[in-house]
Amino acid sequence: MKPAPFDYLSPRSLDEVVRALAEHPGARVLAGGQSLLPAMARRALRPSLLVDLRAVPDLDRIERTAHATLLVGARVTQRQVERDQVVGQECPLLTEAVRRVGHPQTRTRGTVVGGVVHADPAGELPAVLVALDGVVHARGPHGTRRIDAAGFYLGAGHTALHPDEVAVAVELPLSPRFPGRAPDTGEGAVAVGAACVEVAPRANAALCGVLAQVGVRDDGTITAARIALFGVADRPVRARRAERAVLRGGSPSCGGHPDEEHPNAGYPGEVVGELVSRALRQAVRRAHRQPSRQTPPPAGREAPREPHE
Amino acid sequence: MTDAVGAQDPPGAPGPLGAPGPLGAPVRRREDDRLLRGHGRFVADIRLPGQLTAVFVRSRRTHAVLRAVDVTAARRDPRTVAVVTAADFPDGPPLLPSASGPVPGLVSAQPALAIDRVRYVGEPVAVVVAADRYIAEDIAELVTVDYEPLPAVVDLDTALRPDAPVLHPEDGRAGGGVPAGAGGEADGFPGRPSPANVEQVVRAVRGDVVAALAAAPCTFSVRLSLARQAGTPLETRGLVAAWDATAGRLTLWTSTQIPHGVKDAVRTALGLPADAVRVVLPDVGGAFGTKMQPYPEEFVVAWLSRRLGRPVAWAEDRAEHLVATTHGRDQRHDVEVGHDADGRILAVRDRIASDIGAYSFTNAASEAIGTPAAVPGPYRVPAYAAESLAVFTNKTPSGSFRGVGVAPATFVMERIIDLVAARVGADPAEVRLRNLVGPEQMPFDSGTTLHLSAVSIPWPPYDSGDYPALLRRALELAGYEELRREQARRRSATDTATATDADGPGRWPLGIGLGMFVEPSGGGTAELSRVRVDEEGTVEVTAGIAPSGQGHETMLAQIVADELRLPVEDVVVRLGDTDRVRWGAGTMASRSASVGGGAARLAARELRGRALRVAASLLGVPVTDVTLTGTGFARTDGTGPVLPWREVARAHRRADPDRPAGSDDGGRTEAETGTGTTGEGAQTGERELAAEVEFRPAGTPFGYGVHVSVVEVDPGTGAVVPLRHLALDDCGTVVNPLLLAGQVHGGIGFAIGDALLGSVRYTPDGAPVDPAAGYPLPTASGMPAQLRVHHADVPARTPWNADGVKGAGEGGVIGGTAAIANAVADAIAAAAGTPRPPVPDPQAADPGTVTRLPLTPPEVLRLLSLRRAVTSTGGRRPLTGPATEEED
Repeated sequence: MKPAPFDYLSPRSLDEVVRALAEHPGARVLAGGQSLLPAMARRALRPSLLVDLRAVPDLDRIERTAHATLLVGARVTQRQVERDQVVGQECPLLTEAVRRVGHPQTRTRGTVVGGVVHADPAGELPAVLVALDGVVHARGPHGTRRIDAAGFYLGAGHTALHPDEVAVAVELPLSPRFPGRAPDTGEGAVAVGAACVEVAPRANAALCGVLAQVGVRDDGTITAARIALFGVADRPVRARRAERAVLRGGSPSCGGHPDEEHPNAGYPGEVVGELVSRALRQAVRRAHRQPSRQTPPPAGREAPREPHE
Repeated sequence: MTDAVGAQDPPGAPGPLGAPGPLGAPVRRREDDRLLRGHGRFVADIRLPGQLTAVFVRSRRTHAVLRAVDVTAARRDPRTVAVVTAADFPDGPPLLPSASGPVPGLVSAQPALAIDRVRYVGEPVAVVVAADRYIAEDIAELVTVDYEPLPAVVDLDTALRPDAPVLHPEDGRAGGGVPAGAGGEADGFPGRPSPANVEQVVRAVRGDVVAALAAAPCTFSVRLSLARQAGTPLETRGLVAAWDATAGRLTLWTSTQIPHGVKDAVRTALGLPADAVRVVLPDVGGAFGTKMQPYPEEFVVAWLSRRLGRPVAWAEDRAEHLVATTHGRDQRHDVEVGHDADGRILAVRDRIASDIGAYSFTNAASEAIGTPAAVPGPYRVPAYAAESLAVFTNKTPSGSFRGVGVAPATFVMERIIDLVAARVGADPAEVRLRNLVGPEQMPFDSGTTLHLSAVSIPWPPYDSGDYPALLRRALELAGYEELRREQARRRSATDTATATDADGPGRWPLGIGLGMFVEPSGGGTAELSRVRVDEEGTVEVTAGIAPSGQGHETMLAQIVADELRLPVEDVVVRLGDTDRVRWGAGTMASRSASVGGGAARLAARELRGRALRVAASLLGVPVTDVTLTGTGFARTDGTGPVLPWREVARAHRRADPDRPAGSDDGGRTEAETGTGTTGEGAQTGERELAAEVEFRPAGTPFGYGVHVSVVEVDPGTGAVVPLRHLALDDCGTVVNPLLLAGQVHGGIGFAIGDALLGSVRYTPDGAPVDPAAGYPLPTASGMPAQLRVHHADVPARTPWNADGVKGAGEGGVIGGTAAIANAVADAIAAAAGTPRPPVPDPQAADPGTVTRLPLTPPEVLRLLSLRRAVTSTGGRRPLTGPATEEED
């Protein structure tokens, strides 16, 4: 389990990164390395060149943009996001998902963008992108382009990212949790709740799971619902039928698979309906919760895992 | 949370002032300082000048003829030091010895490098030597192997078919290994010739099982099975071999449980004189049975070092470990049970088949051999017969595995008890009490005979204990009655309330499972220990046991310090060097404290006697008037000086040179506990104050225990949440409660892996499923939230060693696996909504109950739906409901 020979480059600018990728067709981008390096050690991947982002400026930031979105740079670690209070308040689904990625040790190195582009079908982070209709910012020889979540995942380990492109950031819509911070919809304050429910016999590797985020008005009406499934197909799956059912006020997963486009057999198909119900119930409950109960855990302490929740 | 177990233990032997001695004290592990600070030295930490690295080219085929192994390109690489295949061994590569069927020239033995056939993915085919592992892996990719595929035998069913492909067609012994003295047809087993893939057949018989089954008022049959497991110690295998041309000697640093076994095997394979191989044991990061045999890599790397004249290192990587290191379990049992209406078990007949992988690897058949006599466990079972087949398949060879034989046997018997309880409508704890061997029956000889290929041996009697009392105490400690009430409360809440109220952790169906076991520890084989005192007064213990993290150094120091009335920290312990101790069986089978510790106790006692005689002559009094205290030797009347150890050691050295060394001490003593063969250890010094004892226990100590597992099962996903786990052991005298608790904790972790998570999986073609992706090892976050380890209030000592110590290294996995499996089965029954319905079909086992491990979420979900299908009344509840509950 030692990698095949490769070259290593640590550029100081994005332009250099892009140039290196263009000049070396076999090159791969190195960020946190938590998936890439083990795959190289198994010689499952044999990049001729590793282009390390460590010295590239401005990629280590979590930004709120002017258009109510969150921009997570390519070097931002999962641990950084997990502990970020702004993310916790305004993009709660990302926080819910990221604390279930790997172990604290791997989250300290692993990046959010890396997890998104690694495209593990059972991974939580790709499901966040799909659930929230996020956008991947990709920089290539012809500049930066935005790739929508809907077209980003092509299969297990396959994305719309070109070999000469580097994902520089992931952009996710902000969904403030509490009344007062929510955008004024003209229909009263909307509270947001998010949940990640998965089956994970071992805490660091889920068999399958569901992400759900809901907006709930004071009167209890669900005004928004976003649901994504992971570990049920070769890519994360948006459960739009279930979302529509919820918005109509119905039971979220009335029988069968909640997504019409990707029927599947086997265990994930048997349990995903139940997981959708649980995730929605949790999300709604959290939306109803008082802000005072939402104090994040003190820094340095692991949030309690609820692997079977 | 762990209860301290020391508080309730009786103190050790009284010290000089009546104070408790170090035996039984919760002494902290002396190993931990170096291990926890990262100062342990493991094989992979060893760097010798000029050291090279070996990498093995392994078979990628399940079963194939090796047409050609082309090493031309690999040898042409300028970085190559050597590339070697079987053809490079003048007399062929060494064959792996077989402990299970010691037949010289055994055709089913694995060659250290494949010769003309490969029989499993991972089998070593060639070896590459280079400066480091990176380069060696590059070169290994240049070796090309031309395979001609053969049909593969991928599981027990395929292997036992009459038309199955045969793994070892030349093996005249295969299929012929039916034990001579067995009952065979008389016990109701078919007298057919064994299929060609059967390596050997082992039988265990007590009473007349045919008659007892026929006479039993109730009978049922069930198939129970356990999945294939990998040991996955944190430290994989590895070794460094260094040939010293000047001395004509080879030194091996190898990660093993059997330093002397490796020494003997390697020197025999390499044709070297007895003294020409030295094995040194570095720190070993776990073993669990996977390191208790010599391996191909040890032979090949040793051979390479001698041939190249340079040190050669090899360290197994994690992906290699899953295909190159022995597996365990993978066993199925077809059980017939006869019982009465009260749940008393009258007869059990068990047809066992164990998948031992591709070769008669050293201990490949050890699960097959260890299981049959162990099934009845702590229960009376008056009539019993088992036939156990060791079956070849195209998989990595099996080997010993923590709880070998006994863990699968206990899983089977404990499941049987619960099935009987369900059938007669009695509480499982009550059914256990009705079947346990009673204290009045101790020592209990079940009258079981084990028929092996070559010999028939009586199964040893259980030495001591009060099994029912231990069970009752465990039930009390666990709050068993309250747990049952809580289970009923949850069940009725589910039956009466909306689905929502029953949803969520804390409301899911609760399962309570018991796992009761006996743990044979270290009968038969001898162990050696040597204790010496030098002229500075330093006390040093050496022994043949070979730790892999258990705390042997601490354990031996406590025993010797206890005997010599010294503080524990004054005793130096040196283990794991075959140049320091002439022999040792090693560490396995829960025997290190009972046999290794037993040897150290006798050696220390011998040494003390010797020192007392020297002191007596220095003090000018008869030996009966000398006493040993914490400060040294003194007259019992309190007059005269106190002689410290160093003065006695010096005086011993100065003793009359005409007196031949050891003349008054050597020889054999027949003790009640066993045979202690003493000697002065002439190898290291004529006049050294020392004593060496080889201790062979005269019987087998049987530890025993009860595990209580409490789980809840998520009815929507089949996920199992272990909530609480209690272990109550009686392993006789406890040397150190902290070490004991550590063994039990680790064993419970192992049990969680066996019962809930792990299995080495193969594709239908017999290829291992992505070994690089790893193995679902249990982690700390999967342990039960509440873990309690207790020891019997009044332990039952064993008569088979001086301290009354029984083994405890395997009980955690043995009792834990069974308890967790029973808890899951109990929760599934509870989930179905009706409490334990007696099963109408007299022959069928409980439908939807647990019959195979591991209990992964898909398996549990499958059982839940089976169970719901048969219990139609009120068990089913909708999966979803309105969102109003207040969990998390």
